[in-house]
Amino acid sequence: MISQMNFFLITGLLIFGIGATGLLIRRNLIICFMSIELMLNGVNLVFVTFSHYLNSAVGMLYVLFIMALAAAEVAIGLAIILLIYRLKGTVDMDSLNTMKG
Amino acid sequence: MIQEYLGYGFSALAVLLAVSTIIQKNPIYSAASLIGVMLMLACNYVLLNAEFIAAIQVIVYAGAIMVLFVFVIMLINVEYIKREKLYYRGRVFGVIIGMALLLKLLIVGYSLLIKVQEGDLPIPKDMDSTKVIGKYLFSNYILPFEVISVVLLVGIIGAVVLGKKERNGEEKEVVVKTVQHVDL
Amino acid sequence: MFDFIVLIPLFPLFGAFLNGIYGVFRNKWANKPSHTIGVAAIGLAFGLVLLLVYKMLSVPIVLLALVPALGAFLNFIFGYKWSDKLVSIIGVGSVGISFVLSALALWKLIHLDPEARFIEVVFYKWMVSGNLSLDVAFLLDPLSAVMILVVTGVGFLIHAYSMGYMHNDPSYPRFFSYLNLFVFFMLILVMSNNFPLMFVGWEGVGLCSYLLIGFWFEDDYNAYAGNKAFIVNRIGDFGFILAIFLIFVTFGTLNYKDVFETASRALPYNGFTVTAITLLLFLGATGKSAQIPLYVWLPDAMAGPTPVSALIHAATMVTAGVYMVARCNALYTLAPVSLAVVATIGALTAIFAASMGFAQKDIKRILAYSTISQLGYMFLGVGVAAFSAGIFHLVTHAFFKALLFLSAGSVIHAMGGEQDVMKMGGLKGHIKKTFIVSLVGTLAIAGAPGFSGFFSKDEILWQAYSSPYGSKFLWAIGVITAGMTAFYMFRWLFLIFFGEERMDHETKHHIHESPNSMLIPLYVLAFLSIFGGYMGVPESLGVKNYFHHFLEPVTQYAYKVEWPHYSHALEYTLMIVSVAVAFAGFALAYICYIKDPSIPVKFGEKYRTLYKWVYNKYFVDEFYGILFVKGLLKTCFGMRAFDEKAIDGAVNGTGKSLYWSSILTGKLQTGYIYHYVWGIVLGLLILLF
Repeated sequence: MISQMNFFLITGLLIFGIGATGLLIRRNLIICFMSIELMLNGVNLVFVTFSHYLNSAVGMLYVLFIMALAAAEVAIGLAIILLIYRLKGTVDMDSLNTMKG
Repeated sequence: MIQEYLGYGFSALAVLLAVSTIIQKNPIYSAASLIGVMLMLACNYVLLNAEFIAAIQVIVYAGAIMVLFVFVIMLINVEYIKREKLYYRGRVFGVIIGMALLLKLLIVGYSLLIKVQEGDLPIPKDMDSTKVIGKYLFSNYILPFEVISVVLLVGIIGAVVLGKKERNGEEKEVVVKTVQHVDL
Repeated sequence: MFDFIVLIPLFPLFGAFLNGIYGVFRNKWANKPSHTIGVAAIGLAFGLVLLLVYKMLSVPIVLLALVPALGAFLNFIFGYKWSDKLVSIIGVGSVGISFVLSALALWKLIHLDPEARFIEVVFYKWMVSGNLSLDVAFLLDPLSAVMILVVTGVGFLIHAYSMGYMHNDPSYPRFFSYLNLFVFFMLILVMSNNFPLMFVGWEGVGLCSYLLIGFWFEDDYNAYAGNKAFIVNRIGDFGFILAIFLIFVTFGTLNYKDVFETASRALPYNGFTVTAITLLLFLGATGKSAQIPLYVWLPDAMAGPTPVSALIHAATMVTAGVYMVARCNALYTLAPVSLAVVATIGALTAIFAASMGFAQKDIKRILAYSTISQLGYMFLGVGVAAFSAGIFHLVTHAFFKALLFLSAGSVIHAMGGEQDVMKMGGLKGHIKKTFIVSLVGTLAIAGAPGFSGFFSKDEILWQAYSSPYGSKFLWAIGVITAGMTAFYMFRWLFLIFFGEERMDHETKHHIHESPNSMLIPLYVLAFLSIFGGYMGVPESLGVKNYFHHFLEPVTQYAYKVEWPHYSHALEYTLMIVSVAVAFAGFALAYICYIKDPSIPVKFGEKYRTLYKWVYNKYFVDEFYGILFVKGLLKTCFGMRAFDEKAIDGAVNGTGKSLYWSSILTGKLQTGYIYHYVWGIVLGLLILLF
């Protein structure tokens, strides 16, 4: 039987992987961004798990910082998505091909 | 004992909701699923004796960030983007890569023998997590703390600058262009 | 106390430098006030260099040099109108000073014991590389003392002659610059104390020979002749370089002293190494001294001005090979095979070249072939291990060959540039002084008794007969060549100065005697041609042979072989035989060209093929052309095509392939984000694997 810690770790890993897959298959920018948030959450779970089972406060502190960073990143990312919408009229990823070549 | 099962349950729900996030066509449903994931994770954190983190998760992540997401979705009137084919070559390729990554991570992660040992910054037995975090945040990790505040400041300023309207005050007419669909 | 010998080669170098700069900037400076400033700067630089040398050597003799420097400096500032005169002062003066210093060095050397006459003065440390440690150092021993006296003495006379001969030439400073540079390199060659420095001088004289032969380079033929001289020389230099390598590998050092001292211990007698070394050295000598097979450049070298022919191709550069063989006597005596090769090639060249002198028509070309022939004599001398005899002939040959060339120049000057002997004749009534000096030179080269050539040539013939390395066969060739020499030299003299006058009226009107600046060196050389031989009178005639005794320490490290003892009577007999043969040659020439001038014409018509072959120098040049030159040129063109197509193609191809690969790589940048994310994830996957 899988130990409790391993179980949580696998969960975190699964959430991370699902977030990565979502990033690869969606064409809607906003949903891509949400997948990125999923990945961050998966990593957070892993950190907290380790913090609990290894009796170390490092994990929790890191999670704090990650969350703060995620907040800042989301703010700016959504602002950029708004700008893209203003410029292109859509949030389809295929419309962002001016960096071609 | 019951904590074990609670842990299993919350985790399973979290995974299901995560899958739902990336599958949904409607972005609002997707955002809702994401909120669900975060709540489930918060419950997991409580089970793991990290109450402060759970609280922060709900307040910051589910409460502020996801709200931001929903605002933006509503602001730009995103409907689901129609497409002729569901299974086009690019999407299949993406799924394959994603699954491969997942599998590989599982294999790698599972094969590591994790020894339970004492780490740095030990948690004293009688303190709760808030006290612990506070204790270490303002002593060992004071520098990252300050830096994070600067980062948040930058984020605020950046968001404000990026979100401003044009100088001349007129809002440009949005031209909906036809988008060239790429198969790969 | 011998430190000053460093200055002996340095003065001509300064002269060359100054004249060169002046020649380059002369046109820009004419009639400009900045002229004086520039010229004063040069004079100052010259003075500073002298000061530097003085400080380095702390030798009061440098003061002797400052006087002409001061004079030159003042002349520069106030006399820029007389610029050619200044060039002459610098050019001739520098060689003159070197001659004075050389005489001083000899005088000091004589006052030493014969065993101690081996002075080495180090100028500076040239290179240290691993086991090899070379200095730029100068050697003063009897052999080098003789050589520097000849080089600077005859050089000085020829420089003085050139003042008159090149008087109206537009490139006057350049001429003196090159001439001074040549004297510098020749002095380096004979004064060095190690092989690489001698090679520096060796190459340098080759370079200056090229520069001077092609002095009037506007004419294609002159440039071609210069090229030919340098390239043929280079072939010989290849052998020389290989010999230097072999010497270093065998001995581990390149100093004369070390090599020669240990030669007989380090190398077996008649061994393969020493034979290889000496033969390779001799290959270099055949190039430089115009022996078979590399003599072909010398006749074409007559395209240069006459003083050049006199200095370089009669008195000094071509004798470098003989000097080298004499210097390396320790090595050559260990390799009797090489000595035999040297002697045989010398003898063969002598007779071969003499035969070509029979039919030539250009006044200088006849002398060129006679130079080749006399060089053959010198090599015959050193080839039978009679080193002092060979050097003695070198010295006397310098005197009378320079005399002959300069008097030929005088004749050309009188005839307004005409060089074809067939268009001259009967000049003895017009230019008496030139005639007299030419007669002296001809008598000297033919070996008339009492003249210097007689003693030196006879010495060589005697040694060829009696040396353990010689043979009667070589002696016979030498005697026949002596007869031939007398014949064609008197043919030269008679065709120019006697008989009916074959020039046209216009030229005849302009015949005039040369100016004193040209005549006085001729008188000095004539004096030397007569009396210069008395220092080497053979002992059988009862007088001490000063020259031979003076040069004895040079052969101290040679491998000594038992010399058979012959009676004096035999020597007298051989002497009389050679005189008789020479007289026969003279008589034949007299008959053919004065008594009955139609004899040579009839002879030529009767034996037409023979005449054609001799006149065209046995078609050797054409033979070389077909054998080597054509093939080489084809290879060169092939190389050029290869370079253009293959190498340039490779370089351009690299550029093109870069261009195409960048276009290909550019296709990766599609602009779509998810492609990029795929890339990231794929990379991560690969990393995890």
